Amino acid sequence: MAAQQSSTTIEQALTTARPLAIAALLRYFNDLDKTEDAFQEACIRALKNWPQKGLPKNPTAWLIFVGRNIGIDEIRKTFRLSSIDEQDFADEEKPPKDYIYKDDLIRLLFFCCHPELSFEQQLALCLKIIVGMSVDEIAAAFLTKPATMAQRITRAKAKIATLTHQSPTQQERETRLTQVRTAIYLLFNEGYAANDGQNHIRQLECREAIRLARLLLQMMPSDAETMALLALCLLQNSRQNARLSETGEIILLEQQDRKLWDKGQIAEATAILQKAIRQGNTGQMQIEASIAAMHAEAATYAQTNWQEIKTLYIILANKFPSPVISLNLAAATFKNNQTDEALKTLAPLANKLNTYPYYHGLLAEIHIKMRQPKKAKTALEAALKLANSPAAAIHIREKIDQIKNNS
Amino acid sequence: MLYSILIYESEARVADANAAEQARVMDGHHEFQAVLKQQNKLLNVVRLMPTSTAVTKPKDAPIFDGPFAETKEQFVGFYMFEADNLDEAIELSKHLPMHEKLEIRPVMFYEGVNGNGSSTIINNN
Repeated sequence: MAAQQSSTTIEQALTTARPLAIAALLRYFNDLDKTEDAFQEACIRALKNWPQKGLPKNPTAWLIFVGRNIGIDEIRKTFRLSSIDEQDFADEEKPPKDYIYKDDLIRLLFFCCHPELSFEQQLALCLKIIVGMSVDEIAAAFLTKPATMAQRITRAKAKIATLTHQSPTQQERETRLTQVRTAIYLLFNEGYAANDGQNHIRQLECREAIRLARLLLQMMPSDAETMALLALCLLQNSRQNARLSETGEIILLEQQDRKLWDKGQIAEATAILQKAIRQGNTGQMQIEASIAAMHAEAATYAQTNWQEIKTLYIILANKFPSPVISLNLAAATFKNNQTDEALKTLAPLANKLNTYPYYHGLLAEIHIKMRQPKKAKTALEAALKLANSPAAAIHIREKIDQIKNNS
Repeated sequence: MLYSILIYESEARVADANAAEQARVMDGHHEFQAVLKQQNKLLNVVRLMPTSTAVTKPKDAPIFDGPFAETKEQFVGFYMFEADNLDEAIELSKHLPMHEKLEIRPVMFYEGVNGNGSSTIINNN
């Protein structure tokens, strides 16, 4: 490899090294701020050294070694003030062996997705600590002020410092892993649902979520739910280019130009999902990924296998009951031309999903099909009040106008 | 003589690469392919999916998920092409973008089934 390194190659190497390096440094310092500072300083030294000397053989190990020494120097300075013998650190001077980093990274994910933190805090910490986004970028992604986001992160860190981080038991581990997977999926969804094509950082969130899912899967290559998580993210992400018009309006699945779907991502997701299914235990992510895969498989909207999708939603609703899943079951039932049954599924959701725009949207669609324009219009007006983006509002208004013109 | 170029790359690096970096690498591959096609030397272009999609069957154990060993770089794809000799194969490989490792290795036997049902057989055995 050439000695001269381009700055993009170095930046790329630092980005790739970051999660594992941070995870390993956290093991030494057991303190997020100290870890971040040491990593930051190690990166500065890398940017000084690597352009001339070339990339080290293992950039991650280099950053961990240098970062650790920096941290130890800092501790030394502090300790010298309180005059403690330097000999105490003699053991620490040996260069670290080529660690198996797996446990470090999982520990870091557990750290950032600690159950005592709110989801907002978990996502903010993941982006700040693991991904390395700046507070400004994260604030822009969540549409909050940088000062508010800085405070959220500081509070989360303060909270974490008070918590114990003993290795969880096998049973706790599974629960925590589920939380980590959920956090990664929420991070993806944050970016996906709010992406209006204008806010570039939204796409970054999706990208980073996929990166984290890949990392997690690398750590546990046999874990079916983690496979499903990656598959699910890839399947959703494959539609990214088809779901917004040039002017930023949402294009529904039904109207999307399927030629714009990313076939590479779909193929990879399908391959991973097939592996997950072979294991036989169906978790939530796996069923959701299977549903997404059914959509990806259909060459046209008309060819969608609603029968199978409905079956999958029934399994999902039985195993993991929630109003939103029931709503989706109702939608699949409706698409499967079982209008009455769909209405029956919807009925008990009226209270729970009253503030959920998609509930009213589906209700409107059913009433349109049943030629009940008045009821449809009422439902659409409710949906309009709850619309969560300008693009969605435009879409609903168009539907209201259509009803007015037809009646 | 038929040669192969086996390409090894760090999957983590591929996954993290930004759009500009990806484009740079793909441009290199397209250039390599164009040069070989122009000289009528290209037989196969194969790019593999990430190892996360793979399963492995060891000799004495059932199938398990993932590639066999954890290594820094993974086998990500290969080319097969005609070259007069090793020097020419190496010369042609210089059109490729930089990867962790390229292995240039002569092919002993090749059989490829063509679209019309016939097959191309090259036997150096």
